[in-house]
Amino acid sequence: MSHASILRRVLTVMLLAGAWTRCALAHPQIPGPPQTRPIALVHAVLHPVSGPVIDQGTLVFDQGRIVAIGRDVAIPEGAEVIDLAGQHVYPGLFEPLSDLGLIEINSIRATIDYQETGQLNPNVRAAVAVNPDSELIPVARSNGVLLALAAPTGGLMSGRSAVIQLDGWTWEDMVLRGDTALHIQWPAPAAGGTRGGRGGQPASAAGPQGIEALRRAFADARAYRAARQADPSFPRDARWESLQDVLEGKLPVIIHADQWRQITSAVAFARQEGLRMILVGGYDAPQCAALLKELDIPVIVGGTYRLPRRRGDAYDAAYALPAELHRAGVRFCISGRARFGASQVRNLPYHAAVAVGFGLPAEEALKAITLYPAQILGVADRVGSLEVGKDATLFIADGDPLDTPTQVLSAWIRGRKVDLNDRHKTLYRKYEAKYSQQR
Amino acid sequence: MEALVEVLRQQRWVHCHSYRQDEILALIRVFDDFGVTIGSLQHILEGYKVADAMARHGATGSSFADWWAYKIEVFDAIPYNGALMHRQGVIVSFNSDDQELGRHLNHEAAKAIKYGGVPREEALKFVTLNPARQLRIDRWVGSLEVGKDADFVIWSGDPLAPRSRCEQTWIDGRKYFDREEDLRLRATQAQMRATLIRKVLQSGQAMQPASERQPEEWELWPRHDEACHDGDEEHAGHFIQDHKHD
Repeated sequence: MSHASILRRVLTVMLLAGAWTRCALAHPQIPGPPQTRPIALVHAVLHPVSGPVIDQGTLVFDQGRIVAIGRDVAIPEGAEVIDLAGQHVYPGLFEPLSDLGLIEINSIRATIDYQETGQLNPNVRAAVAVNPDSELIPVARSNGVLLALAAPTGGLMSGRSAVIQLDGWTWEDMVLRGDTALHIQWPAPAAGGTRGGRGGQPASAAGPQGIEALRRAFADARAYRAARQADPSFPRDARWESLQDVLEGKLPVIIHADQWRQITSAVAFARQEGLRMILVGGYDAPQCAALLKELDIPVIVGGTYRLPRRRGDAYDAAYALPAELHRAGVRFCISGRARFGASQVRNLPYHAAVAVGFGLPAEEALKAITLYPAQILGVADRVGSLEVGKDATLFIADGDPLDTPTQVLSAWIRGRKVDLNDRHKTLYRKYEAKYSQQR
Repeated sequence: MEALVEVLRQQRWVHCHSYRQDEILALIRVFDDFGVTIGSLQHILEGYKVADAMARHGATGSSFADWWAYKIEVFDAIPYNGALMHRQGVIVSFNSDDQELGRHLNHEAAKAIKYGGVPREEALKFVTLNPARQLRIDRWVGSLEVGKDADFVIWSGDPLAPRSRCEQTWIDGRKYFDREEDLRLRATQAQMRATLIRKVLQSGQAMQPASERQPEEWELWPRHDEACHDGDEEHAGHFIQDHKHD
């Protein structure tokens, strides 16, 4: 057994030990079977996102991959042909930061599994804690969100996030990239640190001490590597082992920070330590735009549905933030995480729509919830746009997903047809039946 | 006691916080016994389950558009709630007791179109005329009619679309907000702020002591909802940066 595989098993056991005693909840939607023959969507308005809209287009996918897209496309023999009669095809929407699959009911602690105890948990893998039967997952994908980053939180080093596809029997089926990034909660600069509990972000160590603890962790991980190289019998340590690919620049760090003092301090830290950084939150990112652009640090905007942080800020500071980053040439994508987490992932397209109202071009807004998250999280070879060779992870809608009344009509994830029912539709039909019985 | 007497005489309306169908029915039955009509049921996330009983009683419903799953009593909350109550003849509005969500109720109203197919004009009433009717102030506000207060908004586009912008807000015939003016004033205010900061710096006075901390986002916009204390302090959830959401 390889070292990596031993490590993986050890980590899995560690996480399972902390796994939540789940309520007896499991959604009844049956995951889609693997694609068995080519499917051709014809007479469609195709929105590749990576290129111009194709009117009256055809898209063919086979064995889970897109094999042809355009106006003049031959339909393979034996293909199932679906005539869309002018309906729209989009790549799956992508929520770039969420706790989807890691939480069921916010106020019930036993249903929450996004956090481990302690400050330094670089070895924690969110992937292995994802609950494929979460009722929240079908609700999110009903509105076209087919991909999400499931991220751990809390402490200083929260653990590793995973890009998941929102369909599958097990977390192994769902995972697109099991180790996507290491999450660091940047200490707040104020003395006393961030507030834990009510109203505050997850408690983390105070400013200078927190930064010092992070610095020591990376120094220890380097010393550990040197010790292991010098003496292969030096005892293994899961935490320092799991920081090696971060130090080698193979795994990026996603640093959570909103205030400019946090952002600049985090950027300086990442540079000193040689880390590949992605910023999340980023309320003050426009003030640091030149720095972020120069060092090519992308930003996962922590939602547009946010209040101004300071009394003197413009009322539309959060609404206009994506447009400001776009104008400044900073790479970014939009998350709907702002405040309510997994249960509100379905509202991701409206965060993007708000940005359009405040200056972001509509094509950019769509990219900010499809292609840009895929690029920033390193999975654009698989998802994010409708292109030959990419996964057939896409949906059909009767209009623009940024417009609220638009209905998502059907969806595929890697060519597997997704059941678009969910808890809400089930209850809707149940109580429609109640009232129709009364007539 | 005086207040209760007013309730019994139908001189004071009761607007009742509620979630589940059992408690909603229980309250309706108590009020039925006393021959008193409920003003509105607030939150009313399971109103869709007993919308027939609400309509018969004459209670109106003021709901969240699509919040759910933050606690067990809202695990059956569905975004079709507004549509189902509306179709049973209940006067429906969408509200929020959250300071951030409260500033885009127009986006919330659009969800009644999406979930359950409420006609556009009716969905707009969920955040204009219907709340006025629920509060019994529709003689003055809630629609654009001769004789009513000059309270209105000028939008850049469809008021229910998240990509539309509020351009102007008028209350009682007075302009309270004008986006162009707001943008113009920003430059002046930034300049004044910079001047003040420069003066402070030049004064040589001591800086903010290290013990003093910047207020958190949620502390800047305080609100208090007496009906909503359910001891959730220790469960401030994951990405929930605001202090409450019920």
